[in-house]
Amino acid sequence: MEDSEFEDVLDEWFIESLTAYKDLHVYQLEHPTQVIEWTSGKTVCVAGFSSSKNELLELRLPLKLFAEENKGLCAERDFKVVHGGFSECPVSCLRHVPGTRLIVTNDGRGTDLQVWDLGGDDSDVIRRTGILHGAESSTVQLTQLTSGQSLYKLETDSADPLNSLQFTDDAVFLAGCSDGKIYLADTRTPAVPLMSPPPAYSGQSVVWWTDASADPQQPSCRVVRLSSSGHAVVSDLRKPGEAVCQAQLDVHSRPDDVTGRGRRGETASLCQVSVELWRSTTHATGGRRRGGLSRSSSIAVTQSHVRKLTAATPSASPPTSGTPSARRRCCPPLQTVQSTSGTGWNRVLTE
Amino acid sequence: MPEIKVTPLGAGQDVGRSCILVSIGGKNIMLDCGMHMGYNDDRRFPDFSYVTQNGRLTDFLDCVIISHFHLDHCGALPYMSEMVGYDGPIYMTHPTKAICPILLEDFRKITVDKKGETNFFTSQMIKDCMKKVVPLNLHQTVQVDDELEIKAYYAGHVLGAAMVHIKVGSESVVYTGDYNMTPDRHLGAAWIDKCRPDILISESTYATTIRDSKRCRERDFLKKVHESIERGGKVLIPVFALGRAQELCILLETFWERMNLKAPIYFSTGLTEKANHYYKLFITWTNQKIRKTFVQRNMFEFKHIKAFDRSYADNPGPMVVFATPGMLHAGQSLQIFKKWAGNEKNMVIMPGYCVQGTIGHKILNGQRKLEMEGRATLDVKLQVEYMSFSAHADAKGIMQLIRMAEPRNMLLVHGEAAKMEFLKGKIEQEFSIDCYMPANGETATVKTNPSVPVDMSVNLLKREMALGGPLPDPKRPRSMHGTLIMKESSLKLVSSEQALKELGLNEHQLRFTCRVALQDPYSDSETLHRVYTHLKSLLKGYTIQHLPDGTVMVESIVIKVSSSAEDANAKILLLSWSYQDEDLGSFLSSVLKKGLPSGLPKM
Repeated sequence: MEDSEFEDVLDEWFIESLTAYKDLHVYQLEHPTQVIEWTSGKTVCVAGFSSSKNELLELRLPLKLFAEENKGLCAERDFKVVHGGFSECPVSCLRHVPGTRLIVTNDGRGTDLQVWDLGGDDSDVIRRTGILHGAESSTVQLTQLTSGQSLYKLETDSADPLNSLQFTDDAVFLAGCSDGKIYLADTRTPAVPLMSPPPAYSGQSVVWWTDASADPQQPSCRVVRLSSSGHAVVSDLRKPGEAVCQAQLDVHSRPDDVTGRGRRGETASLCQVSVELWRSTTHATGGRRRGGLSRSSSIAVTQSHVRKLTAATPSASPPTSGTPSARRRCCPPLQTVQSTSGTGWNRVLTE
Repeated sequence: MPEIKVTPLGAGQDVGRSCILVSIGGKNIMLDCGMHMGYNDDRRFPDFSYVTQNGRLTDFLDCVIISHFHLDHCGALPYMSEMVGYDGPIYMTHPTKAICPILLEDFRKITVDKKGETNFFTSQMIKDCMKKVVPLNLHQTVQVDDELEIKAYYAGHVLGAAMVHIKVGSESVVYTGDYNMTPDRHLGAAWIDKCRPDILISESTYATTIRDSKRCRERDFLKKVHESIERGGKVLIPVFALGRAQELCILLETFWERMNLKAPIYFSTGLTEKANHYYKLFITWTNQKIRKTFVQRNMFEFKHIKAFDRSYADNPGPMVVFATPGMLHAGQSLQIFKKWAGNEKNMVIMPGYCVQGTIGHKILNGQRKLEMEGRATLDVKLQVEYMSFSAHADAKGIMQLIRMAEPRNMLLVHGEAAKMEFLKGKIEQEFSIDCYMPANGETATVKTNPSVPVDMSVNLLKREMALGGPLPDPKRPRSMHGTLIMKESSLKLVSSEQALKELGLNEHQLRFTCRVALQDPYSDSETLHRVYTHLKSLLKGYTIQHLPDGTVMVESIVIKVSSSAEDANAKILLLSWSYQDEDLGSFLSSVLKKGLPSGLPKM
């Protein structure tokens, strides 16, 4: 065989992979996806993000990935499409509602949430069952997914654009506004929600993202707020107005594109990832950390995640409206849809 | 409306056996005749009672077409032709014709000799069946009879696999069999032209699969082999002679060279001879790379791979051996297996499906103690690995194929209708075509809209062109007037005069006359003028003339006025028209019967 044919058959990556990975499986989807979510112990959901029609697919994992004993006897190594559906808009966020056959999606442009029924054994079609929407603190409500009944409404004076929404336990949720304000609401009582003002050094054009982490070993929940200028503030939910610790992150962003959306979108992604890491490290060490962001580790993860996110992110298209306020409303995309476990397992918080 | 009927044969919803009946333009065709490998009784055969309840199939089938040599596509062929009875032609590609009987004979030996079954075809039956085979070349149209023609297209998948285009008149069907849209190391990718069949028939199982990449499968294979060799073990790879074995050899050879490995690799000689022989015959069926290699040298002159001698099996140290047969049911591979089974450092890699009753099948089901001849027990301590390398299309591939062929309808077999609604929707939305999914034993009827080619006489064409209007456009229908003649099994559109001439008939002219009585106090000429004025105001857009000879003409209808000798006021209007103007003529007579309005201007 000639040398070129050697290259053809086995390249460097291939040879290295033999020692680098015990098992390696590569699957090429017909259409790329930005989302992947477990819908059961053996199935995942993916969806396309092109501007026109997209597919939602529920895929069953191949047996080979599960086989513990006698793995060698299992030849079945392909994914199977078990349910499929169509979406008119791109899917940039997808969440499964635990304990149900429902998923919730968002297109990344607006704040509408589409609710889908994955279906059972009798059909392979994923059908849309409803739409939830709202974008501001004045429109936050808790809805029973299966009945559509509204269970709680957040009563606030102002209508501030939201950037995060999540449960800290079964009944209490946190709504984080783009200006850095936090609302803390208990769905069991009709009492006015607790409002915490933005951090002291919040400038006018600075946008904030919020995430909370409830560690069962800790008496209270920790909240981190991260600004578009890279300022991170950690607070205890018992005293949300005070900072337990803070840090200035060294965030590298791309040069401004015309809309400014690219930078915000990327920073949003950075924030999301950093916050995720912070949450997981806090849990892993049983909350024994000082509660600050570990600067070097978060940046290391962030950089690699930025690469991944960049690869998956479609080119930013300018918003149709030119006014700054409209632009702000367009982004960042809804990323923090959560569902609760426990008694209210089929409720979804919408903003 | 003409229609094509498709019935997948088989019991229930079982996948695993391909046998499809197609009824097109009055012809009946059987596509594949597979055996279901999971059953031991008659359920493994297709249910031929759909063709006829009693007796032989010859009178009911115009031909049988086999897509490739896998047993789930041809395993029941000798049963069908020799035990149920069929004497008509059986079409398959040259490589399929060469390889089929080998696999069928192996299969027969296992089923009858090993399992002791009785209701099964014999070696002679296989031979008799193959005598009925008419081999096909790629892209060559074969006339089965005056009306039915078939053509084979390259399908990839295995050596000799074909997709078949079936045409009767202007209706056609394409059956894919098993195919692959990405090229292999030794096979190309499936290809078909934009033949626009009425129906494209394919398996539904592919469309809902997302396959692990070929490289990962190969990586797995090499890793397993390497690990075994590293610990001093011996690796046995039972293979059927062709295709896959060669591909694995290319892989190993390259890997050995790259990693500078020294352990010997052997290929049993029986394999080499057969493989070389077949590749010489079927070189056009492999891909470009293989053809280039073959032209340069002998197929199996590898640097690291040598011919095997059975004494080598006892040599110490690591080695890899490719040996036949593929299911470990007899011969050299079984002998080697028996020697190596007791050592846990060793490994056997099964690269394909094994029929029930074979050692291959048993060890793939996890059996670790085997009963051999003479009641001896064999402890299976070596590592058993099952790796499937067979190349099938997937969700993306099926969409690519539909894009290539542009069928008018899609038909998917081997799936449950309820579980294929999404796929049906996907195809219907993407291509705006109907998608049918008949269950086994159910008939799907697809209405077709075949275009009927008709010749048109030049005279008629010229006449139509002279009428003016927009130029002929294939996308815009245009009405025209002519007579359709069927002559010498062709259709011709000619002018009526020409048609009459062809038929030897005279043309008769029909003219109608009508008398309308009117009370009108004016003179004849004045009455005529009043008629003219009245009609002119009523029939705008029509050519109405008051001629000097004392008649009014509306288009070609002639109107005359005369009065009775006795009563000058009693006028008779005589209308005369030809058959072509019947509508207008009748209308005029009914209008004039109502009389003339009083306020008409005088001359």
